[in-house]
Amino acid sequence: MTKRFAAVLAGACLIVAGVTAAQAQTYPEANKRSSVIVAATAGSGADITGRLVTSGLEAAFPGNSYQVVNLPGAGLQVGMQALADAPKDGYTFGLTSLPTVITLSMDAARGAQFNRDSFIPVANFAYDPGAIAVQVDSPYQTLADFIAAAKEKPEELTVGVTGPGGREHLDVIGIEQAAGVKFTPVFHNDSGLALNDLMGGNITAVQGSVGDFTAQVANGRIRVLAVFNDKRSTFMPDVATAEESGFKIYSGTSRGFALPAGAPEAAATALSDAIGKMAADPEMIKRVQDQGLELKYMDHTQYGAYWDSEIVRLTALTAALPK
Amino acid sequence: MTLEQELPPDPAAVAANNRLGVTLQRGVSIVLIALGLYVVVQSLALSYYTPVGPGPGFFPFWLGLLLIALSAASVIASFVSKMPVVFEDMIIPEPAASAQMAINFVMVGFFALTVVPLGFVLSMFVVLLVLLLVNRVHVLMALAVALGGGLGASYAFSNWLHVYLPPAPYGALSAIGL
Amino acid sequence: MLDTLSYFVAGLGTALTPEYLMYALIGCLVGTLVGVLPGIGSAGGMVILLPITYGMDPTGAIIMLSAIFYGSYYGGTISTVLLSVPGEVASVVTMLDGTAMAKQGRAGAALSIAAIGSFVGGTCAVLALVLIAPLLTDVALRFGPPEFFALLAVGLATLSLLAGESMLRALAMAVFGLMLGVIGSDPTMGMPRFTFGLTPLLGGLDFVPVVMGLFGLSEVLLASQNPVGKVANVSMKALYPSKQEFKDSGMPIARGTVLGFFLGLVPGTTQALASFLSYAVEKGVSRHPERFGKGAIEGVAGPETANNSHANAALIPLFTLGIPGSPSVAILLGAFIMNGLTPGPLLFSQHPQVVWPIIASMIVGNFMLLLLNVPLVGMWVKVLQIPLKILNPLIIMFICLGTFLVNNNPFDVWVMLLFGLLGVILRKLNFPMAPLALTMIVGPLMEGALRQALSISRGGLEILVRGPLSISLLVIAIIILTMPLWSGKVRRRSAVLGADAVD
Repeated sequence: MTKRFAAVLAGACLIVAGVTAAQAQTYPEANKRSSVIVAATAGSGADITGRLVTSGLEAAFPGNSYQVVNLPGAGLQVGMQALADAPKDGYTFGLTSLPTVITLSMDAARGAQFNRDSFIPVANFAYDPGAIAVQVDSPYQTLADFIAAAKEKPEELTVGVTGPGGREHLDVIGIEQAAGVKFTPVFHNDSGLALNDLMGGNITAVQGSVGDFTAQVANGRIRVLAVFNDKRSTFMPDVATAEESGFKIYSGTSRGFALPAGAPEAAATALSDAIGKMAADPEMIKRVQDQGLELKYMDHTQYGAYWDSEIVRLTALTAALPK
Repeated sequence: MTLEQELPPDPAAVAANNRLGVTLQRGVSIVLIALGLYVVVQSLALSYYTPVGPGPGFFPFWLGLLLIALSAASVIASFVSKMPVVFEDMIIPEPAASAQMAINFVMVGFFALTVVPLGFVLSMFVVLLVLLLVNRVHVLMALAVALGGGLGASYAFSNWLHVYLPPAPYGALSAIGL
Repeated sequence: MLDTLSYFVAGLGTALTPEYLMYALIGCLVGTLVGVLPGIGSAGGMVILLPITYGMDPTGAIIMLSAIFYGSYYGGTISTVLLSVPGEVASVVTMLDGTAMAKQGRAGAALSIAAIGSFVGGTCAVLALVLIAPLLTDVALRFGPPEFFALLAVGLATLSLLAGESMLRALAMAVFGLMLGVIGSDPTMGMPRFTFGLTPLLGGLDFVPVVMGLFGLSEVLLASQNPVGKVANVSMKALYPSKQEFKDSGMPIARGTVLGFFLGLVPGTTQALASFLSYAVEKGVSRHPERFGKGAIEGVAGPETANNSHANAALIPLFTLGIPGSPSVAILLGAFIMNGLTPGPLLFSQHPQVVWPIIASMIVGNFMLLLLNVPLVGMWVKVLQIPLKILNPLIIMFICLGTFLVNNNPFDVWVMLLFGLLGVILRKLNFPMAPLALTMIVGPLMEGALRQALSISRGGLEILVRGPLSISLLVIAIIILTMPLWSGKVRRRSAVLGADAVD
C-alpha cells in the first residue's frame, strides 16, 4: 500500500513534459516549467522561503517558470517521499529542512522510504540557529546558571520543545550529554504555545530557534540564555553563544534545496550558482531577515558536507531517545 | 429527476423497514465491538504507562474497552427497550436510487484515482459529465456544465488564487494557461 | 481610558480614509470568497494575498490580511447552509440545523441570522479589545496545561447535551471519534499508532476530509433517495427572518458572543471548538431540544456567532502578548514581524499610529461584511434555484476539490469517500455524528495537554487540580456531564435520554 501510494504521489510531480530533458546539455533549457516541492502548508515559514527563492529563480532564468507544490503531511515525510520519487530530469526539486529530513528517516517506526542517498543537495539558503530561553524574571542569567541548577535538581527543570524526537528535543539531549544533566522535556505542537506556557510560569525554559524568540525578547517577557551557533546572532547580539559558555553545541533549522538522486549534476550546479547570486543580493538579504532568519548560503558541495555532518551528529543523539 | 419516492403508506412495509433498521443497528454495534477488540489488542503492543504519565497505549486500551462496553450495552438495550424505533427513510433505497448513489460514490473514487495522472481539469470534466448524464441532464447542457465547472474552478484556483492544482499530462492544456 | 478612546477615534478616522476602506473591502471580499470555497480556510486566504502585501504600507497590509481572517467565517456559512458542504471547519456544526432550514425554504433566514450574529460577535470582541484589553492580558497566561486540560474536559462533557434519541449510541460515536483522534504519532513518544503503514496518517487523520465525508458527501449521496425539498421557494418574505426567529436568536447570539470571546482568549482553542460548544449549550438550555437537527434557528445563530467572536477575540492575545493562538493568527503575526512591528504591549506605545487604525478597521470591516451579507442573501439563495440534477454534481466537485486541496493529496479524497459511506450508514441507522466530530477535535488536544501537565509534575496527578481555575472548570465539566441525570423534568429527560432510558 505504501509503495503504491508513493507511486501515486510521484505522479504529483509530473509537470514537465520533456522526455529527453535528462540528456540536456544546458540547464535550464528555455521556457521550462519546474516544480518545487515544499513539504509544508501554504503560508508557513518554509513556504514563504520557498516562494522567495522561486521568484528569484524566475528572475535569474527569464522565461522559465517555477511552480511551488505544497505537499504537507506527516511532518515533512509526505513531501520528502514525493521528492525522492520525483522525476529525475532536473526540473523537479524541493525545499529541504535539515535536520528534520534526517531525524524522520532515522526513526525506523515511521517507515520512511528515503535517506541521504535519495537526494542530491543543491544549496542551503536560510538558517535559524537554535536557542534556549527562560522567563524574564527567572533566576537563571546564563546557560551556565541553568545547567548548574539542573545538576542540583536532576529532572526537575522542564524544557518546552516541539514534538518528541524533533530537532529541539535532540538539542536538549545534546545539552544533557554535554553537561551530564537531566531535564524533563514538555512537548508542544508549536513554539507559540510553548512560549505561552513559559510566560505563564508553567515550564522552566523553551528550546527553540532565534526566530521563535525575537518578538518576546522585544516585549521584555523572556530572556535568551544562549544561541547554539558558531557566532552571535545579528538579531540578538548581546546573547552569548553556547560555545562561549563552554558547550560546543551547534544546532539550528536550515532551509535548503535538493534534487532527487539521479537528476543531472548540471542541474544541481546551475541551481546552486543561481541561489548563490541571489544570496548576495542586499534586497534578498533584507527579505530573509524580515522573516527572522539569517541568510546562510552553502553551495552544492558545502551543503552536502553539512548534510553528512548533521547525520553523524544526530546519530549519536537519537540513540539516547527513550524507547 | 425521476427518482422521487414517497415513504410507502403500507404499514406492513413500514414495520418491516423498522425491523430491518433495528437489526442493522445491532449489526453496526457488533462491528464496533469488533473494532474495540482490535484496538485493545493492538494497544497492548504500545507502552502503557511512562514515568511522566500515560504512554501511547494507555488511551487506545481504555477507549477500546469503553467502545466494547457501550456497543454491547446498546445491543442489549435494543432487546430490552419497548420504545418503538422509527426510521425516517427506507433503509434500502429503490434500485434506481441505489444505483445512482453507487455511481456518485464510484465517481468520487474515480476522481481520487485520476486527479494526479490526468490533471484536475480532465478528471473533473469526466466526473461531472458522467454525473450529469446519469441525472438525465441534456447532453449539450451536461457538456457545457462539465466544461464550465472543471475549467472555471481550475482557472479560479490556479490563475486567480494561485493555488496549485495538478495540470494535465504533457502540458496538454498549457496553451490555455492551465 | 480616555487616552485609549481618543487613540481609537483617531484610528477610526484613519481607517475611514478611502485608501484603507478599500484595503478592508478587498480583504472582506477575499475572506468571504475563501470562506465560501470549501477546503481553503482563513489561513489559505491570507497566504494568497501575502505576496501582494510586500511593499504595501504596513497598516494597509495588516488591515487587509485581518479582514480576510475574520471575513472567512462569514463566508463559511454560505456554502454550509446552501450546499451542505462545510465551507470552513468552524461551520460544520451549523450544518445540523442550517441545511435542515434550507430544506424548509428558510435558507435566507439562516444566512441573515448568521450574518447578524457574526457581526454582533465580531464587533463585541473588537470593542472588548479596545476597552478592556489590559485587563485581559493575563487570561492567556493563566491557562497552563492543567487549566487547558480542564477547559477541554468541559468541551468533552457537552457531549451529554449533543446526544440524539439514544445516549448509548451517542457515547459510542463519541468514543469512536476519540479513537480516530488517536491515529497518528502519539504526543508522548512520537510512536506511530494505528497508521496501517500509511505515511499520510503519521501526522494524524485530518479533520477536513472526515467532516466533508461524514456531513457533506453523505448528504449528497442520500439526496439520490430523497431529492425533494432542497429547492427553496424564494419569496422575499422567506428570505429574511420572521419576528419569531429574531426573538429566538437573541439569546443564542448573546451566549455565543460571550462563549466565543472567552474561548478566543485561550491560545490553542479553535473556532470549531467554540461553535461546537455553543451548539451544545443552545441545545442544553433549550426547552425544545428535540427541535435541534431539524432546523432550529438557535442551532445556527449560536455557533455562527461564537466562531466569529472567537476569531476576533483570538487577536487579543496577539495584540497584548504577541502570542498567536492558532495557525491563522500566526500568519498575521508573521505579517506584523515582516513589517518591522512586534505585537505585544510595546506595540501600543511605540506604534499607536499603526495599531489603532488596524483595530478600528476591524469594526469597519465587520460592518462591511454585514452590509455585504444581508442584502446579498437573495443572490446567494438563488443558487438553490439551480435544478438539483445539476447542483448535486457541482456540489460533488466542490467537495472533491476542497478535500484534495487540504494537502494536495488524493489520499484525503479516499478518506473522504470512506467517511462518506460511513456517514450514509450512520445517518440511516440513527447514529448521531455530531459527538464524533466534537471528540475528534477535543481528543488529541486533551491527550497532549494531559501529557504536558504530567510532564511538569513528573507524573503527579494532583497537578490537574492545582488551582481554583482548573478545579472550577472540572466541576463545571462534571455538572454538564451529569445534567441529563439530574435535570428534573421527566419530559425533558425522556427527550434527552431517549429510547434506551424509557421502558
